Amino acid sequence: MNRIVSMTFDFRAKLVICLLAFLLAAVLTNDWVVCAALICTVPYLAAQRLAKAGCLYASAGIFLALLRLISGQSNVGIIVPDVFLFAVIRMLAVMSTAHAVISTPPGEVTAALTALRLPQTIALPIAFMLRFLPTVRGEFAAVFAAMRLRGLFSLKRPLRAMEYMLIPLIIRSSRTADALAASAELRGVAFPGRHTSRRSVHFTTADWVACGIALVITGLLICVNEQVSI
Amino acid sequence: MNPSPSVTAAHAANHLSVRDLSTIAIFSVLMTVVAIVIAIITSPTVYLATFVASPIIAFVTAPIYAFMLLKVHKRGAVFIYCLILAIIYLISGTPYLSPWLVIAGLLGELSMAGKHAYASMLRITASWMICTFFRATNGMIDIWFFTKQYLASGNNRAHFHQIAQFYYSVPWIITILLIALLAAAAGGAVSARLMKKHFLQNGLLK
Repeated sequence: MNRIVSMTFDFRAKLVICLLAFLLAAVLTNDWVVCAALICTVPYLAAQRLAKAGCLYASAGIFLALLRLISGQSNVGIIVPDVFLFAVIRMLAVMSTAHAVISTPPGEVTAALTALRLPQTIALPIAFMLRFLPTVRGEFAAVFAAMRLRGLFSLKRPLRAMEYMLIPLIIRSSRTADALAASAELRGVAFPGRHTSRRSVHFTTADWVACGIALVITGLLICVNEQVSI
Repeated sequence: MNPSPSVTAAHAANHLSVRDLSTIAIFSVLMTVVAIVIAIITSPTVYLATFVASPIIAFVTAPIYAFMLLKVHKRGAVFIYCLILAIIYLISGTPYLSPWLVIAGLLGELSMAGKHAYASMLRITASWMICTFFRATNGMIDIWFFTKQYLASGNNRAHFHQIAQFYYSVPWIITILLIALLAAAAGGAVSARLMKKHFLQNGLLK
């Protein structure tokens, strides 16, 4: 059997880096330190052919930090409230690393979660969620577009609008859930025996190095943030 | 020795299948996305974030929750849903809220004990009210036990004091939770009507 070898980092390494980004988002208080973290994710994403997304996240972070600088962090803000901008800048740091996690092929996610020996009741929902997340926006967009076309997009009757939005969304999502489950079952997910995968998941030297660098950068950014915040 | 077909059928009827897990995962994502959008829209104003966000989330996402439970129709769905929420909290920088959600899952599942609970909209609404109650207290836990982290997350002291005046006052806490619970109950009632109209009458759901 031909094994598919991942050309990028292992899913577990991506998960570790994403968790470090969550830690930074929770700990960092200085906008420019968060921007530095965003810039650090650009080469990481570029290594996974996601350079464009990396640059977009970094430039959006710098733009929002500049907005906060101009407003003088007065809690009022220029376009939107300052607290909201603060949260969005930190969310960008998480989103940039989560982008790498979400763009992992579902087969590789399942193989990595199996290697982690997670119980199926936890591993399968995680795999399904990661597969569904990139399409959520599309689901909402399709429902809203259909509502607009039929002239049902009105706030005059909010309960009716809620019904027109939720019911198609539920039906579409239910179909997606069934399709994903059927696809997983076809691949033998429900089989009780030992599972093999065409995806070869190995925690390589590159993964160790990436995690090590991410850990060092996280430590450095926290130290810099402490110094700057004094 | 292979298990008899009747044993296998009983096992399949009681245990969550791949289709059930897929349904719980997808609908949990849907509810989380709707909740995040509502939370972001209401976040700029203290009063909206304190009094309106949780009730609106409870009301709007109730039909999604009801459909999920009616479709899965098996024990464990509420717990897995809360477990997924706990994982989301774990990785989104508020790991201290995860055990809280696990407790919500256990109590929610307890409220669904009995044979036909997953087919009863009343029981589904009761479990939804439990989940809503625990989710509505998240902001309070932030303020009560994690003040330092809350202030570090960009909220200035004036903003903190504005929220604290509500979260340190028993009458206000009861009011906030009561509004959230009423919205969850109203969401359950609307869900019952919607499920009957769109899914139960035409046999799409049992």
